[in-house]
Amino acid sequence: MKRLIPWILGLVLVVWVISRMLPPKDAHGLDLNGFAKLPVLVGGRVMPMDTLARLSLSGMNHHGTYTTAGRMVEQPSQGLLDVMMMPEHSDTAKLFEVSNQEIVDLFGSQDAKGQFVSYSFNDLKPYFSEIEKQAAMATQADSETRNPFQRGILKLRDSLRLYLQLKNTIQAEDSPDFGKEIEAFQMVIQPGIKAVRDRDAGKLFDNQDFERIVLFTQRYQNLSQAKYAFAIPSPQVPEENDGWQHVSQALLSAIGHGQVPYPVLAYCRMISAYRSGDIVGFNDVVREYSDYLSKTIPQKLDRAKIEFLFNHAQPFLQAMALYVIALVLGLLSWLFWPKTLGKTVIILLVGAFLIHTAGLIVRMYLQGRPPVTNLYSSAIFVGWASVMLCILMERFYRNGISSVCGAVIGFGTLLIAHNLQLDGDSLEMLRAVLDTNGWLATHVVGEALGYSAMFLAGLIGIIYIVRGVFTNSFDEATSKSLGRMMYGVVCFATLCSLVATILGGIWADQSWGRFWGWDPKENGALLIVLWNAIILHARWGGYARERGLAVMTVFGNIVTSLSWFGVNMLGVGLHSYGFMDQAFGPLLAFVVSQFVVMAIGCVSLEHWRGIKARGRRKESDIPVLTTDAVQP
Amino acid sequence: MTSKIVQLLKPFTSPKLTIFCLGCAMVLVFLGTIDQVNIGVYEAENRYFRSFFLFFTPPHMDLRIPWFPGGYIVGSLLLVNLLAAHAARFRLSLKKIGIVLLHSGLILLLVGQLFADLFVDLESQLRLDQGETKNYSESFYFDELAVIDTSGADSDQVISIPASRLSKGSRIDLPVDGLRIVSNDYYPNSALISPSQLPQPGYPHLPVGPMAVAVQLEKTYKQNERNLPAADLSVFKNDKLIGSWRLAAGFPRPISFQAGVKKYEAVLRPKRFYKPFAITLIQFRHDRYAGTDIAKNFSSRIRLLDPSRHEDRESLIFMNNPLRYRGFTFYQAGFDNNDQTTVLQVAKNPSWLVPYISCALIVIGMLLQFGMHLLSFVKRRVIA
Amino acid sequence: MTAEAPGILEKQNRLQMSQVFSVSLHQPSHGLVFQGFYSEAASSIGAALNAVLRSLHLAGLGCGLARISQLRLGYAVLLWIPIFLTSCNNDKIEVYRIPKENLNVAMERGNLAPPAPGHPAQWLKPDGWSEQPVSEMRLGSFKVDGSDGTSADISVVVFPGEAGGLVSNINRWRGQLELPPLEEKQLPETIQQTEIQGAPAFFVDLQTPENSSKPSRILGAVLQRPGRTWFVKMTGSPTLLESQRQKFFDFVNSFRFNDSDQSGVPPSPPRQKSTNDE
Repeated sequence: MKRLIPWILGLVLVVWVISRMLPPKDAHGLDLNGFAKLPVLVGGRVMPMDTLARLSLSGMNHHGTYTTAGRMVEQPSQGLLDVMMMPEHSDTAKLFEVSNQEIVDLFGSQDAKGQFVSYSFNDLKPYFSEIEKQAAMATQADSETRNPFQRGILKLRDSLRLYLQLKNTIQAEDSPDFGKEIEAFQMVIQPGIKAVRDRDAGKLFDNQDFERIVLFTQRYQNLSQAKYAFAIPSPQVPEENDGWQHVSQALLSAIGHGQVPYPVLAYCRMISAYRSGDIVGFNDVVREYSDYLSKTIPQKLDRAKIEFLFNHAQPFLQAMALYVIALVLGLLSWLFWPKTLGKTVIILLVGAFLIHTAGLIVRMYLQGRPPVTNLYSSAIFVGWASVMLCILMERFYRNGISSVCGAVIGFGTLLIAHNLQLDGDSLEMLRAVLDTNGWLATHVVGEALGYSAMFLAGLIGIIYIVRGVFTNSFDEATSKSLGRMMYGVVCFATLCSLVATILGGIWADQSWGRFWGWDPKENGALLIVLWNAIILHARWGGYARERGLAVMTVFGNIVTSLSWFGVNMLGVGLHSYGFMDQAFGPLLAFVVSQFVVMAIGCVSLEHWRGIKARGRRKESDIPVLTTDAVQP
Repeated sequence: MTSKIVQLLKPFTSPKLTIFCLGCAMVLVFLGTIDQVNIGVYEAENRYFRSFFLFFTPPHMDLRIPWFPGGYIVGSLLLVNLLAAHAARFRLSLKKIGIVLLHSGLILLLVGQLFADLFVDLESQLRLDQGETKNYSESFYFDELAVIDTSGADSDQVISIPASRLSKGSRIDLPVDGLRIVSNDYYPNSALISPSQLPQPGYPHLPVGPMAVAVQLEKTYKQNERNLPAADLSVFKNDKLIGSWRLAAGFPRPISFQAGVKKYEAVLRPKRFYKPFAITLIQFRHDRYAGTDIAKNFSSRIRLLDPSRHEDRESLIFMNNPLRYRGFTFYQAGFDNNDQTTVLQVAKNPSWLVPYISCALIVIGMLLQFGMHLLSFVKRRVIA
Repeated sequence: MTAEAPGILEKQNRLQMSQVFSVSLHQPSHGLVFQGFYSEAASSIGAALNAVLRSLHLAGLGCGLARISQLRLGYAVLLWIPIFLTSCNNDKIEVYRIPKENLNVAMERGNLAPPAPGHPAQWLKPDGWSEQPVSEMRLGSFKVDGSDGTSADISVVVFPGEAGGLVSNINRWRGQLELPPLEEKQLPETIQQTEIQGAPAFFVDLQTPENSSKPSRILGAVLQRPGRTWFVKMTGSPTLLESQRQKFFDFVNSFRFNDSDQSGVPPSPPRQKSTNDE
């Protein structure tokens, strides 16, 4: 029975987490999920409406939610549905969040105090010209020198713009009934074209028809200013993205061939049904349109559906939860019931790792790319690779340390990724220079593997120092085995980062004509390689034993974090597709914390509780230099 | 004999020296990266990596105190250390083969980069408007005063004087016709404005044309920005004044003068590198992802014309796909002018193959080395 | 084209050490300053270096290095310098020959009018247009004769600043053709906006009312450059202008403004967009 406890505990937790990954049931019978799966082209890629809703809302407020009449709506796609089809509703929703007090003061509302103040579109209407004016001034300033007020006002302006664009994605927002409007438009097209031709040919023409068609043309030309999300697919070229149209473009080109495309009409019917509260009608149109799409652009629709499921499953968040539980149990296992808890931790870790892996694979499928394409995905991949290394190591050492390391790094990297995700679409299209799967799969993945091994080694180093200094349980055997673990991981890190760096050089030679250009990102990679070389030579030379190795691998954490994120903050160089500057504070805190750990590690061995407890010779860290020791 | 050499080599074989060098390299790379924010990548490269020492200049003093070894010293020491260590301990054994391969790869890489550094031409750019043909590229960093003897029947003789030598008061004797150029004034960086825009009357400036004057600017180190020098020059022949002219690189309009029987033109312009062939831009394309401004690809369709080698063909240069021709590499670096102008970076690197070879050596060496470690480790585990 | 190798005939003024090291360093007496870096092990390292370099020589790695091996370390380090100095070839005067400058290039680009000294713009004159003398006001002036005996006049004029704004200038032209002035919001209907060399350009096509006694037409272009506004105007009979319409557009589109035209404040060195940070 006792042997079954870890299995039962672990599996229950894993199953519980998996159960949270299923998409929610539709409320009130409305086929919201069906709408959320419909494909739309945004930012150069086809995504489901669900992703568009999540991205837009999280750009407007930090919860990424849609709150109407004091009631928070659970599903982002519900919000998008309102914005697209019932804008008079969404105009009153508290969508726009302002976190800067000076901006709140600009609007002069006294009661609004607090960290975040939310406004609805209607609330902000009186201040549009002021916002536009302030934003215009803010754009004059260099992006690096903008103050929080200027950044905030630009963000608010962009949110408002985005909101206007979304309202006009599948209809003209001012239309009382877009379906009727399109019907009228369809009837005008043929006679209108005739009138225009007649007029050009100098013949008699029907002035009324002429004016009508001109009116519609102007209206849809105006509407095309709101071009952002392209909802009308092009069945002619199902594989290409270039044919997708904004509703206004579809209508304008309808003037040429006289026929309004079916998707526009389908959306019109959806709008009419939704506005009149006809749930059955709405569901029917959604189903009918989905069927149409599955015949015309099956692959795009499949991807959109999978992305919808992926959005709801949030595999990385679930994996994060499991990593946390594993971490807590793992730490407990060092103190109580090491066997039972240790086994549970491994089961949880493997479960989390499988979910993590599944998420990674789905992302790769959606993007059609190797796993690492931007900072966000590098964080996910670094975590994944570290956890894999940890599981492998736990298999060999079975000391409960690797599994705790895995849980810590898995959780930490996913947390970083989660914060990076707030910047925008994490499946964004790639910059021109990155558009090569071969190099992405080798150089970039190799660098990420190097990072993960560096962090793993550093974490073992931290555990070595903390356990050595603060606990009695630290004995010679533990010290030796931790030392071997660090050494092995450092070797792996060296291999990966050196090979990846050289591959990067070759890539640079291929695309920029030079092997090495001292670019910040290149230098960051070089720093990791150099530091690894120092660690290895120090060990081979006998200058560093276990403790030295531990302190050095902790410094490796600093080098790696600077190379991973730090160089992106410099704002120079050719690798500018990964720029970010908000993370400076956390990065600094991390670096300082690592220095503190290193300082603790350098404390004289007399103060090491672990060493005292084992009462052995203290000179184990004194370098012993012999000629034979210089090379392995 | 052998033992004597080993004895001599000993101080150089120490892993301490390796660690010292690697540590210095880390400091250099770190500082050289951080400083790029202030002085740009090119200047940082010169100061930190292509130098013997880092210099410190105390405020208000004309002193340069070396305080840290620069890239050349660290690199050479590391090389010596590597060679010495292997020479002293070289024993052919299967166990060491990984380490030997790995390090020979590193040596090859270091030597290759050193030689590339020594003999490689400066990087330059080829800017082409649609339909334009050029047989030269231009430096992005350096300017030249080109004095061109145009009296030849079918060829011109160009005397290229680096703009950096034109500092105020300097005299430069040209290797032809007893010509001498004296600099009356020199701005390392300048801007052209119309005379009415001078901040106040009498503000120092050089009139360079009927509608423009040059005023001095701070030197810029920003990425994508270049310095545009301006100079006030007098030309002498056999100590007799021929004339004085104001030239600005921002307005590279040649002036002409007569010296004896020969006709000359002079122009201050980005330093040119003539090629034995010409390139025409047929079309530049800037593809974007559907419905966005995100660049999907940049490409230049060009025509390559090299009569001496009987080549006249079209080629397509795009991201990650440069044109390599006669030792030069042309790759897509930028664009301008509403996608009407392409900017190709031109690099010449005769040792471009070296990194590929050393990469192979290092990878094989490392796999062998760590593979053996891993194998023995796993064996031990299995037995235990 | 005949491109011969630009053989570098002469290289002069080899770089002096002072240009790399500060004055205080390259003099022999100060050479010790940086020897101090290695003073502790100088003698033994020097000897060791000799051996290393000898082995290099044996490996056939070059006579330049071998020569160094016969010297003591301090000098050896010093002597490494010239090797590196050859790399810094950006400070020498070079003399070389090139085929006659750009003749062939200019030919391929068409009849690009050479800019007058200080001329702020270049353009391509269409075939069939004849150049007229320029005046204080006119930077460019052309005439084209039609088959029906009429002729059209083309002028290029530049004014500082916005020259009164787009609306008033277009209304000025409208006035010349007996057309009523327009209000600003009607403007977009009558003009066609594009971009030339990164700055906005507006085209108008105006014609006298149908009952006019002397029918005339204006093709106009307003080019808003930083700090300056350019006006290109073609006046003539409606039929002639119809035939010249494309040439007029081509002419205006061929405008290339010189750098000195960047008279906007503040002046800044040129920036180009990189394909990596776009």
